[in-house]
Amino acid sequence: MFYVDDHNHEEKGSDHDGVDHAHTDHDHASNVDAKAGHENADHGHDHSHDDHSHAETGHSDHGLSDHGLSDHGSHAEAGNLSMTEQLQANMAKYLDVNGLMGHVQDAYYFECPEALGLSFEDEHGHQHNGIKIPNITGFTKETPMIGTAEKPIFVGRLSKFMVLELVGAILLTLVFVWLAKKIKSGDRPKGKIWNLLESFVVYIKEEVVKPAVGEHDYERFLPFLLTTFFFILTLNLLGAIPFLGSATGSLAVTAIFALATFGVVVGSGVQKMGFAGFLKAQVPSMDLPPAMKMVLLPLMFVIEIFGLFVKHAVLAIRLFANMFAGHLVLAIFVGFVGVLGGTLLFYPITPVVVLGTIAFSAMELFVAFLQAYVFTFLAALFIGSAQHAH
Amino acid sequence: MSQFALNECLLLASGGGEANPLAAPIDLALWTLVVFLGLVFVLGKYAWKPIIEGLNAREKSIADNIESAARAKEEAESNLKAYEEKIAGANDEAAALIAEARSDAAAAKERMLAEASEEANRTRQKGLADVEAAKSAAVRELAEASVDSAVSLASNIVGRSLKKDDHAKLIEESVKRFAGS
Repeated sequence: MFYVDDHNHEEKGSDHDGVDHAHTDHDHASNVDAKAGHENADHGHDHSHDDHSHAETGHSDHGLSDHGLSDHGSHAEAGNLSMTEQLQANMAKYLDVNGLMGHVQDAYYFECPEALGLSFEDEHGHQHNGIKIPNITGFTKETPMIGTAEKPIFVGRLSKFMVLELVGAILLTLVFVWLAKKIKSGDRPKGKIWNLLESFVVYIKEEVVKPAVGEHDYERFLPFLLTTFFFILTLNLLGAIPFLGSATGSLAVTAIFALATFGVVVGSGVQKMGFAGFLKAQVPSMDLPPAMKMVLLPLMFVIEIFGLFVKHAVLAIRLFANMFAGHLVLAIFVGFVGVLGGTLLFYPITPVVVLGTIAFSAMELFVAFLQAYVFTFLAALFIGSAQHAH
Repeated sequence: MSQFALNECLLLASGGGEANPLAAPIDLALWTLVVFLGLVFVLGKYAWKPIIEGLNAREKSIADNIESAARAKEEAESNLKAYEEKIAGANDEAAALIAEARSDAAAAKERMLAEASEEANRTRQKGLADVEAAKSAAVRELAEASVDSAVSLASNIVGRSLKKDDHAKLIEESVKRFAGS
């Protein structure tokens, strides 16, 4: 668990789940220090200071360009750095891996533009620009519900992604219960929203699920597959809204979707063919001499069962990696503005970065739909192949 | 920059306790499971079921409508064909009627002409026959009268002694009488 606002790694001295930021920060900071000289002196070397500097680099400053701008003045004052030195110093600050990932991964607060003046102090006394998610249960990573501070197994605290999932689920419920009422009325489809939503539902039903699962009994898998598609799509799209995030950019989330798919695949297969029948159906039937069969069949069985697990794992990883990487690239792109702050390159490059960010966001929008489709389509295919013998 | 990135990558790869993109907190996983299953249940019951039923019902009603429209069209076409046949039949009938009337009229004309000419013929024949009869009657009468005159003449002559002068006188007288009659 790698929540951005977690800074007290030194005190804990633990490195479970990638909690600490200080180590890398420290490492690359010293890397840069060596070249950049005195400006980053407070970045490394001195552990007592490190915490403070980290809070600054890792969080409140992350990536937002205006901040970078306001910052570079102090850089210039502090010392007459060459452009290379300035760039290196900025890079350490704005392209810090932990910081960038902080924007992409789960957290206990929602980020906000600094200009809104919404800042709060976390449990460790660090300032963040954003809105803290109320800690209802009172558990923290240091005092988890299950586990210890060194190895928290189950923290039991509401995080950003959990809130986004809840928001997405409520949104979906409202929208589709409304749509259900409309369709049930028997009227012809009227209005943009109705037609839009219906065309999605009909597309998934007729063009994805029906051909993949088979005409005969595709309808009983529709609730699962439609929910999967729209939930993933909603979570993906929530990530396109600035300062929110994509819950599908976390392996924990996509793994659950894949696990649920696996459950449906195995469950429906066993229900259809029986447990032994389902296992047998995994191996394709072949015309082979008995001797060859004796050798090949067990081998194939092992491979196919392994493949059954792998293809579901890949289902989770594909969605997660696409969303995570997309958002990370966006964060890096925006980070360039910060990197260029204080140098003359800022002026020519920033427009390019802004345009690039817009283009990349548009592509992310496409990816949001594509990945929701791909996940649903493959899940439908897996379910379909479990319904019929190989 | 590349060295910088490499450092980060190595740190990540070594699992050096830094931000781990593959981290999967159990909290989030369990939460996702609960929310997802809840959503499958709620949407399945209150959204997907009525939506799928509604869509299927609409699909069916559209299919039914199309089918009944096709049936109605078929029916209309067959009706149209029947009417067209009927109209074509009526035309033929009318033409036949006219032709029949024409031939009837022509026949009537023929007949009337024939009758008329026959009648005329008959009248003429009758006229001729009457004339002939009248003529023969007249001739007969004339002959009878001639015979009578001849007989009376002869008796007159016979009643006296016929002499040469007498004879001439007799003929003269007879001719006079004949002419006077």
